[in-house]
Amino acid sequence: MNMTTGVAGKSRGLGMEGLHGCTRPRPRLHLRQCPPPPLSEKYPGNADTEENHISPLPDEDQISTLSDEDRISALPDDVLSTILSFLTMKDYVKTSVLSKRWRYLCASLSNMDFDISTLFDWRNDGMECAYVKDGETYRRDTTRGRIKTNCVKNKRAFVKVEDCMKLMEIEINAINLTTFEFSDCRTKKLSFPCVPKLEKVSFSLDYDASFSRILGEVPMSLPQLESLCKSNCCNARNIKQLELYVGSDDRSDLVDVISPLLRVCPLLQKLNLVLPCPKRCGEGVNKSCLDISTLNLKKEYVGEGKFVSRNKNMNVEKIRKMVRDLLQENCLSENAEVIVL
Amino acid sequence: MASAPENEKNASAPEKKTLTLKSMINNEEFVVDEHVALQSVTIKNMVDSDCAGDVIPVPTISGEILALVIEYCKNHANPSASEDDLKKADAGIVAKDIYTLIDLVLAANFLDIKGLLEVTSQKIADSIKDLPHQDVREIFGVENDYTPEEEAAVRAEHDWAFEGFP
Repeated sequence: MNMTTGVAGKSRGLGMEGLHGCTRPRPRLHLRQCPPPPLSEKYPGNADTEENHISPLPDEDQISTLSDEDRISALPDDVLSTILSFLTMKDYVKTSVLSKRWRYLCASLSNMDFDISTLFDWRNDGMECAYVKDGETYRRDTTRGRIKTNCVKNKRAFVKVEDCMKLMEIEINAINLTTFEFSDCRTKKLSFPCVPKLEKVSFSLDYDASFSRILGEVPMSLPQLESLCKSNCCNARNIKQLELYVGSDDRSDLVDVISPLLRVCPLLQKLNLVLPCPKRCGEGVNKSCLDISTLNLKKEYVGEGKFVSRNKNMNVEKIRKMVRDLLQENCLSENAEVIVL
Repeated sequence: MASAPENEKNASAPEKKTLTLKSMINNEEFVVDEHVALQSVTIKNMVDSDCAGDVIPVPTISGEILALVIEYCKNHANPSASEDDLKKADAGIVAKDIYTLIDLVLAANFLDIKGLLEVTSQKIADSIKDLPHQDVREIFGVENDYTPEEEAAVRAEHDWAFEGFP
């Protein structure tokens, strides 16, 4: 109280008003305009009654009585969300089962601006791009590590995994992840439990052995995302652009492997399938061995497509049929443009 | 901090300006250098908009918590403190029981001190991570208001997150 001014009441009033009324920028999270926490009747722990039970120096006794109160659930939404933003997606989602209050918080997840690296299971301090170079070093961290960083302003997150020959498993939980690039790895399992903003995925698969294994795993792990979508927790099927670089030209299982992947990407607009220039696919062209050096498809639900083949043995009809096989029910417009170079 | 010179113009005394923060819970008063207190955006806004008197009443924050907040602000107002020193000091400040931490996070939020909000939130998050939810409930005293059926349903929704947990 402002005794020195002599108008204590007034000054105090001003002071309080200042404390309550001064607008301040949200430090970090984009939250909905939260009304005061809806639990004030049930958990009378917020501003007006706080003084009743925040006493100085809580001693042992006080702590044990306080522990009967659900103080953490009484925190305002934005504070709780700040706390939760320091958790990985997995830990975050787990809190939804604590109580109804927490379930509500979890449901508001898509409105939050997360720090990718706190969600992503490996550390790259302050970098906009989590770049994993040495699979040996990062292997543990990548699969299970639980590390954090301060790069909270990451808006355009992208992750690139390259040359991680010993990296056996990659699991990505990253709410802000928009681009994922993957090349030169022998990773056996690749899964995306929660990547709601993922729009561009690029695989570069230079090792024969890894090809079907990896692409075989991805479609299997993506249905997980579907179940998340249903819970409104996360819409993870936003992949709009998918690039596949295939190192070997002898891929009899290409259609089988890619089709499931395409099926779980309903919003896919552009598929770039890059195959090496055929060396031995001259005559006996296998149906699935795409001789299309670049298949650049703009699907847009039976929209225009553009398919480019550098193999003169493939005529337009053959390519069209091949693409149709590849896309199966994602039917191809008759107007799609097919170019044979 | 940045706005200090501006305020000094208005200051009647040429010496370092101080502010008195007063906990409205137990009426403890703390005299702090202005530049220390101005790390609180809330207080800064008050000072900038001239709605702060010589004594700034701080509702809802106890003296004990306010002392921790001021300790944090002092550490971070010291220009010669290295990053390592600050990290250590921060770790010391948040090495508290969970209920103190909750008060502290509320205070940091109310006073709008971003750094403190982050270290405190981080510390609380650390006590949630990697634990089964049953343990989290126990640690924080979270009251489970789900029926067993509801709880099972919520859990089933997020099946993947509970992999490996009881």
